[in-house]
Amino acid sequence: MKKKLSITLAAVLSSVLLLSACSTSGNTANSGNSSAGNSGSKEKVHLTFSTWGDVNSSSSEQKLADEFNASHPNIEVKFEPVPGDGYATKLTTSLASGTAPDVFLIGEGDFYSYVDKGVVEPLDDYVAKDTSFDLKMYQQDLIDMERINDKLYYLPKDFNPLALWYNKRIFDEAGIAYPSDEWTWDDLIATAQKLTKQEKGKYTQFGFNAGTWEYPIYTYLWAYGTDIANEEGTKAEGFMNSEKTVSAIQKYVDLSTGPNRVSPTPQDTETMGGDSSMFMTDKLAMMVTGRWIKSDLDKSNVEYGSALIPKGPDGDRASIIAAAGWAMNSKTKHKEEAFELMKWLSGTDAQKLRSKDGLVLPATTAELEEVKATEEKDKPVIEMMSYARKPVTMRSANGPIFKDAFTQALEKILVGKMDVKSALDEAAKTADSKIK
Amino acid sequence: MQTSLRKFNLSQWLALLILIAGSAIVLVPLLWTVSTSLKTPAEVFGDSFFPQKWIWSNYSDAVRAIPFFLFLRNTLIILVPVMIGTVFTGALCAYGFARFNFRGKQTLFLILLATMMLPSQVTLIPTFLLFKQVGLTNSFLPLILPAFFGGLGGGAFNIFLIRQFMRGIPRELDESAFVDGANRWQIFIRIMAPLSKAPLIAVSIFTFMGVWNDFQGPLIYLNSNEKYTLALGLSMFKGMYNVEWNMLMAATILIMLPALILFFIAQKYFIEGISISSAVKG
Amino acid sequence: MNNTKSDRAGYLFILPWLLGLVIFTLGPMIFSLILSFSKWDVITGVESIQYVGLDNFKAIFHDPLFYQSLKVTFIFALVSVPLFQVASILIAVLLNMRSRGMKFFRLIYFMPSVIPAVATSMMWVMIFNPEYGILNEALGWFGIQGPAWLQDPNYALGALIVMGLWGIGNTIIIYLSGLQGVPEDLYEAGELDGAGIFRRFFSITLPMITPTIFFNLIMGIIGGFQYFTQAFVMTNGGPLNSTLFYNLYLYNKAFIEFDMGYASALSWILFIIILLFTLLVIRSSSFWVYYQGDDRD
Repeated sequence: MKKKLSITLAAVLSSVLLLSACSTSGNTANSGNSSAGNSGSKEKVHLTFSTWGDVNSSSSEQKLADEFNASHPNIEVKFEPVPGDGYATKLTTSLASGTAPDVFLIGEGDFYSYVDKGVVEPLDDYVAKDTSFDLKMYQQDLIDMERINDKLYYLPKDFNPLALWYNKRIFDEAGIAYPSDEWTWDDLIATAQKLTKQEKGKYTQFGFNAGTWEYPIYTYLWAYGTDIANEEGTKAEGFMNSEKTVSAIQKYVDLSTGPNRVSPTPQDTETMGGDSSMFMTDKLAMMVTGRWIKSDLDKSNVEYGSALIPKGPDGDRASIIAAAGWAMNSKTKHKEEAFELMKWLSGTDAQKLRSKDGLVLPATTAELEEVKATEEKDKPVIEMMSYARKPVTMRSANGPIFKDAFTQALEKILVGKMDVKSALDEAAKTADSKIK
Repeated sequence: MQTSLRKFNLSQWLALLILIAGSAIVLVPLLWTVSTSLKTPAEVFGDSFFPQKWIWSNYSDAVRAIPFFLFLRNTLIILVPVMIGTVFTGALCAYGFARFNFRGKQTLFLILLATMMLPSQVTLIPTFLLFKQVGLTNSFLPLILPAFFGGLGGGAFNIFLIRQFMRGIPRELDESAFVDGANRWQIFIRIMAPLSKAPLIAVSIFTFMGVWNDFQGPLIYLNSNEKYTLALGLSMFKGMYNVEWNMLMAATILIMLPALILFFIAQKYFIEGISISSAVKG
Repeated sequence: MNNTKSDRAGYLFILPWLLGLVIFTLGPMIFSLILSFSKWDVITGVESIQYVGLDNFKAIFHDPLFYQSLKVTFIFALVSVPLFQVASILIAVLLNMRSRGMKFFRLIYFMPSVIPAVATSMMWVMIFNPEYGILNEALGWFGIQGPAWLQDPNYALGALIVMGLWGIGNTIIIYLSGLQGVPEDLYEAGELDGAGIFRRFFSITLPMITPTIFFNLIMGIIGGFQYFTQAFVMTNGGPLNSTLFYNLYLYNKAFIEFDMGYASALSWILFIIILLFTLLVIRSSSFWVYYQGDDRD
């Protein structure tokens, strides 16, 4: 037995040597980015940038890269698309090993944490220095989204405001007027009740989707004048479990539980391919979701419209802008050039190119106004932008703590394990105990 | 054991019944995949299990939506050397563990097993760092090289599997060859490897599927889409915000087919090609 | 007892693996061992690794989610490992019958292993739906009111075990290959002795495939404790953490919370657990695994 141990140790030690040899050479060779470009004055600077999705070689991003290369003789940029399923793993690995792209795309849900860890370069200095570039060309609400702690870290690629989407065929069939801008949540619920149908004990049509995705729930809570945390994101007690929150959540949960439900359960929604599929097959009359839904809906023959998300009892209305923003790797060696690339990727031409087929909205004010004037279905969506607020995950490093505690509570309520009040009390306590 | 239908007795009928029931359970999801691949996007989650009109163009569209043949070529560039390396070195190491009594064998074998016990989630980044140090990232080499050292993922699975089978081969077979003057290498090539056809084919099938469906490896190591593999291409149908289920399923089936054909051919050698006797007399 | 000559040659034959171990495998394993005593916000790069001693382990032993994930994983492994082995052996023996048409059955049972997880998980979500799914509809024919499966914390883990049963094609293939090592003349001898199908199975087949059972048992333990993909795709740990598998928790720590040190510490605890179970099986193997080719000394 002793002999075995010695062999084991010998094997372990030899590879420790190997590893230490590797890591010493690694520290010196560690460059911070993958670009091979060197300092010679006429040498080309090499940059890379990444997005998720769209592995296709003829994508807009590839076109933008080609045009950028043509108009910037001293910079050679390479577009490296990553399959969506693996983006987080790939980005984490490349950042960990110092091989991350110079510019990469981040979803708004991760905006805060990447800034918090210091891997994203603040842009204010570059913007201030650059007289040819003015942030005023962008929709103000969008730029506000991309500021973290009063510093600008991201530039807009595309974005999707949340709005209310309704199935016209279902409304017409029931002879009910379409949602109006004056609607309150009570109006929505009353209409949803009328639009829910059962046949032989099975639901064949639902009025509204009251799902577990937290964004629509936040907008709903804001309409009722409450939130799951304070504005700074430091406290849950008195917010997550306030009287307003408890009564609003009770009302929300009742929509998808019990014999008189008007909403599918989360399981139903998943079974039927998500709210968009239910909506397209005329099984769902209304939902609150982001504008990305439009590309799905336009492929089917569903007749739909969009409207403002309803107001709360005191006239409050709120939305969230789901957005993807370009970030600069704080370790890139070529920051000026990287900023040049970011400007290109979020500039007017890029916005025009991406929004040409109507799949995404342009981030620039002038183009956005044009869409608003011509596209009837996009008008309420664009209007919703001025009601946009930041969810707690974008306000504080503690965001995920509140979010997790809240989702856990919601799960407990939905499976009937706890009542609303005690579940939210417990969640507030859990969240506050974890705050750093 | 060749049995024709009319000679079936009760227990064989029972066996057949179990197999049929099991197949039904297995086939329903597959049918769903096929039927989804022929639907329109709106029909995918509709009420009808079968498409109203069979949209065969989903298949050609799926092939055209990604650089299918480029990705196929890349996959094969990885696959062929990996198969050769895995089967050859896997069998070699297995023979070493099965038939030799060298010092420290038990410990080394335990280390072999132990390499599978640490979750890959935490060795992923260190392994990437290793290949980065030697400048092999954004190439196929990190996906190919390890196969020549017993097999991918440290080779433990293959070596262990073949070793188990080899230990079951009666020793009289190789010992008589040894007496006849064959050396260890000749015994391996002429006796042990051919007799281990069944596990070697099993290892080939697993290796094929491992490379064919590998998402994580190519994802981490390959940066440019000219180098992407089919498994990465498949995930392209999950776009930025929505999933094109019908196209995804069409591509899934196209990518599954080679594996199924390979298995169908391989099983002939796998099941019918054995000639071991208990050989105690030999 | 063999002579020393053959001993040395053994190193030569396992040399490819030994080299691979030193070059590719040991380094990353030791790296992660060092990380388990460190704090590393992984996306900040290797320069930011800090040694923190036993902090990670201390925190883990006070972490309720650690115990929850351990519980889920133990239940899954203890139920699924024996269940999957028995089912695989049964089907493999049936598929090993030499009759016409059997190759189509073999193909069918192999299919689930080829279908990518994205396709199968979607299918299972539909099957398990309490109201519309075919599973509860089938149970209804027998007057059984089926549970809510994936949305019920008491049944979600069970649902995943049922699903795992569907994917045992690979294990079946390994048993099939093991069955090819059973000499035919033993069956013929058995048949001449008038042994029935069950006697033949228990006195000939089963003992002869014990090396394969040994293999699948160890692989089953290793795989069972590291179960990840389906839980990741389908339940993501829910409802109420009832399917929070150990590796899923570990993945979240490493790639969502970027706490690689904590995740590494978790992984080494799992390593020890799996090692102990494996040693148990290896120790016991001398009582029940029979190698035809081994020296009987």
